[in-house]
Parts: sequence; structure tokens; C-alpha cells
Amino acid sequence: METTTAETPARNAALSKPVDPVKAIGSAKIDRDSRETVGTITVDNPRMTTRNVNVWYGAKQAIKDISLDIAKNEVAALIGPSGCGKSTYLRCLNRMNDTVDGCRVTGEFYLDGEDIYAKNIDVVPLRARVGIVFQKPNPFPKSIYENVAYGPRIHGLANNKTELDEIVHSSLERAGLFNEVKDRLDQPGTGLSGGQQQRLCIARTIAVSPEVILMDEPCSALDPIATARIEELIDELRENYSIVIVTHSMQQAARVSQRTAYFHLGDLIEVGPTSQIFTNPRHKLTEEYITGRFG
Amino acid sequence: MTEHTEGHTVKRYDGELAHLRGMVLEMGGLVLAQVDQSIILLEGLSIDLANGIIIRDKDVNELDVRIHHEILELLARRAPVATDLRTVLSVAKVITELERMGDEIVKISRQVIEITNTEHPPLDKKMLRDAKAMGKMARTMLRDALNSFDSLDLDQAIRVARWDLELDNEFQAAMRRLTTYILEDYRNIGHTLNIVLIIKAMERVGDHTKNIAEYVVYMVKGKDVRHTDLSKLFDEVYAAN
Repeated sequence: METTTAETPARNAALSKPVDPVKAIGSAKIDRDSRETVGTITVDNPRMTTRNVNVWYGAKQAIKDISLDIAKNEVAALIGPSGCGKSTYLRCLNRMNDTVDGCRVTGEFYLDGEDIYAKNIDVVPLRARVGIVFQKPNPFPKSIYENVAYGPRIHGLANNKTELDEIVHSSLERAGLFNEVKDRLDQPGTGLSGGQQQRLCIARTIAVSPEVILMDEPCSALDPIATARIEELIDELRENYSIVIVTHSMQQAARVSQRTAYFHLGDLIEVGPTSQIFTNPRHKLTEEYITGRFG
Repeated sequence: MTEHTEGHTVKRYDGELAHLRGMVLEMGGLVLAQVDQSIILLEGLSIDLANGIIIRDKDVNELDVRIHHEILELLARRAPVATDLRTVLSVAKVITELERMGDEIVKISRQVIEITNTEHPPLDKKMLRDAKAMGKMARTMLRDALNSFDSLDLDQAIRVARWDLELDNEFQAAMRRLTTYILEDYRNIGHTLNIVLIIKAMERVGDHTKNIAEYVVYMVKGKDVRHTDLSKLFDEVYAAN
């Protein structure tokens, strides 16, 4: 039988410095300096396809040659430290960056095979197809009913008041808010609690029948109960929509998403099934970030 | 914007994980000492020593409970992921293996007490030769498994897991030899049964040690090799992700 140095474990325990597992496992991981995306960027059933995306704010490059697919009926989480480009990438998906001065976007973006940056594309209906929910709930200064009815009305989705009522009703229902507000639809949306306001914004997004819902830290201003309700809602919405969520909460990404993409200083470092990313990430940077070793 | 640091940004978290690993090594040290004592016991057949081993198993059990509590607390407070999660999960598994090893050593002690019962005919001590040899093998395996847990040494973990095959072969050979003692003199049956239970316990110590080595692999590589053919273990562990 082979033998090794004869020190007892008790002695080892007393003498050895604590081993940092991540450091010890370093050789098994993809090197910290590598910026090539690890994992599969493509999916079998893409709703959106993005290729070689680059974004500049003036001279500063915020996104560096990122390619990623968003699948139908999936929740994809984008995680990474502040300034890594995840929100910038998210906003490219419905051309919100068009409104930012000095922002230049290159690359290919397809929604159901259609180039969303083509010259003939009108961004207004595009943003109905790819809706967005922001970090801070931002209901219009109108009634709860009008907040939801506004979109379908301007997009001509309802032919009469009955149809509009039906859209408002079903949108609030799907956003899990109807029972709480059904008796006060004429009250201002701004009078609701933070969590209710966020669900109102989600109802407003759903009302125009989107295909994709983008969420930029939708729960960061909410308490844990309101957060849980939104997360439950995200899970239900996945049946009908693709959802891309940017979150600073690793646990939230782990709870709600099926795929997770890790961004770092404008690069897409790793993408993979959420269960794999949170149990055995392959890139050292991903490992260090999600275990709280930097960020 | 981002800052690379040694260990976690929350330094206390590093301390908690290191403490957890240290406690496992402390528990491992206790079990290793119990295995040592059981080898001496097989040499001298001292009832006092056997009783001492049985009493000291309580220390192993107490550490098992304490570590279990620390694991629960760490899971609740830190919600570990990735390597940290695998470490905590592996620790939980390793302490179960160590606790069961402690139980096996107690079984050996009970069998020795039985063997030394004066109502039985005296034992031919050469019948215990295999048990002692197996004890030494199991001891070396355990020591190296604990070292691999401490240093996160994959190669050492793989070697430990493979040695279990040798211990299993030794067990089979010992069983054959014990059969010949019965064939020589049927009055050996009583002692033989006690010794079979002893070598089975040693063989089980080897199995638990192999499991520890496999959890080291899981901790380091994230690969579950518990049911991998041992001859393919090296390739499996070092295959690309």
C-alpha cells in the first residue's frame, strides 16, 4: 500500500492554515483572465437571438462582442457586478438605448427571426412586443384602470370598452393584482404599495401582449413578501412569455431563472443552466462573484 | 468597480468555513485514534481498552451533532453556493461517514469483549492476523483521506478510493482463511463468527473512507463519482467539464 507523510489529521488541523477551496480549485477552473464566453449561447427554441453585440457610451465600450439567445418560455437571469453591462445589454433588446445620448450599438438582434434594428422597424410596437419593467415602480399618474388600459388603447388592441375592460381585467388578474384592486380601479395607481405598484407595471406590460418581458432589478425596491409575490408571478408568466431579468440578488437569480448569464466588465463570461452555474460554475470569475469573493 | 480579494469579501464567512473544515478534521482525528486503538485492542485483547473505545465513541457522536448544528447555521446565514455549497454539503456527508466508522469500531470492541469471555475456549491469536492487517490498511486509508480533505488533494483522494479495492480483496482472502480454521477444528466456529464480524467492520471502515475520498473529489471538482467504476476513476475525475 502506498503511504504519505505521517501526520495525524488532528495535528494537521492545528498546524494547517485554512485552505480557501476556490483558490485550491483554481487549476480546475477556466482562468480568470480568459474572456471567451464559457457555455452554450444558443438554445433550441430561440425567441430572441443576439450576435456580436457591442455598445459604446461615447468612447467607453460598455459591451464587448456578446452573443446570446433568449429561449421561448424561459426566464434568463443576467448577473454581474455593477458596471458589467448587464442592464445595457438588456436595454438593447427593446432599443431603449436609442434614447441615450452618445450610445452606439452594433451587432445583430432578432426577435422571432426579424431584425429589430432594421431601418423599417418602428420602435413603439417593438417595445410593446418586448416590454420592460424597471427597478423602481413607475405607474402613470392616472387611475389603476388607466395605467393598464393606456397601452392597449394606443396600440389599438381593443375595439370597444368591453374588450378594453376584459384586457384590463385579465392583465391585472395575470399580474396577481386584480383581487386587491378590483374595488378601486378608479383610484390613482401611485396610491398603491410598492409591491402593488410593481405588479401594476407588470400588468401594464402584459396588457399589450408582449412576447418578451425585460425586468431590470424589478424587486430591489421591494420588501421580501412583495419580492416573493413578484417571483411567483415571474414563474407563472414564463408559461406565456420569455423573461430576461437583471438582478443583483444571486439568490433571486437562482430561484427564478432556468438559465443564468454572468457578465463582467462588458464581457459575457459564462452562460449555462442556473443549477450548474450555482453549483459548479466553470469560469473562475463566475465562481468568485457568486460566492461573494468580489463584487 | 470590482475588487479581487483573497477569500470572501465577508471575512467572517471565510472563518466559518475554515472552522467547519477544522471541526471535521478534529472529528476525523478522533475516529483515527479510535481505529488506532482498535488495532492495539486486536493485539492485546484488553477488556478495559475495549470499554474505553466504546466510551470514547460518545465524543465522536457529540462532535457529529455539533458540526451538524454549525452546518445548519451556516446554511441559514450564508446561503452558500458553488464551491462553498459543495464544501458544506461534503462536510455534512463526511461527518456521517465518520460517525458510522466510529460505530464500526464500537462493534469491533464488542466482538473482542465477546472473544475474551472466559466461558469460551481460548483463542488462537493467529486467527486475528488478518483483522489486524486490515485494520492497518483501513487506518492508512483514513489518514490519507483526511489529509486529502485537508489539502484538497485530488490525487490522494483518488488513491484512497482505489485502495478500497485492495481492502475488499483482503476481506475476501481473510474469509477464505477463516473458513479453513473451522475446517481444521469445528470448535473454532464461535471465535470465527466473532472475527468475521470484526473483519466485516474493518471492511466497512474502508468503505466509509472511500466515500470520504469521493466527497473530496465532489468538493473540488463538482463531480459525483460515488458510483463510478474505480478503475475509471482517474479518467473520470480529470475529464474536461
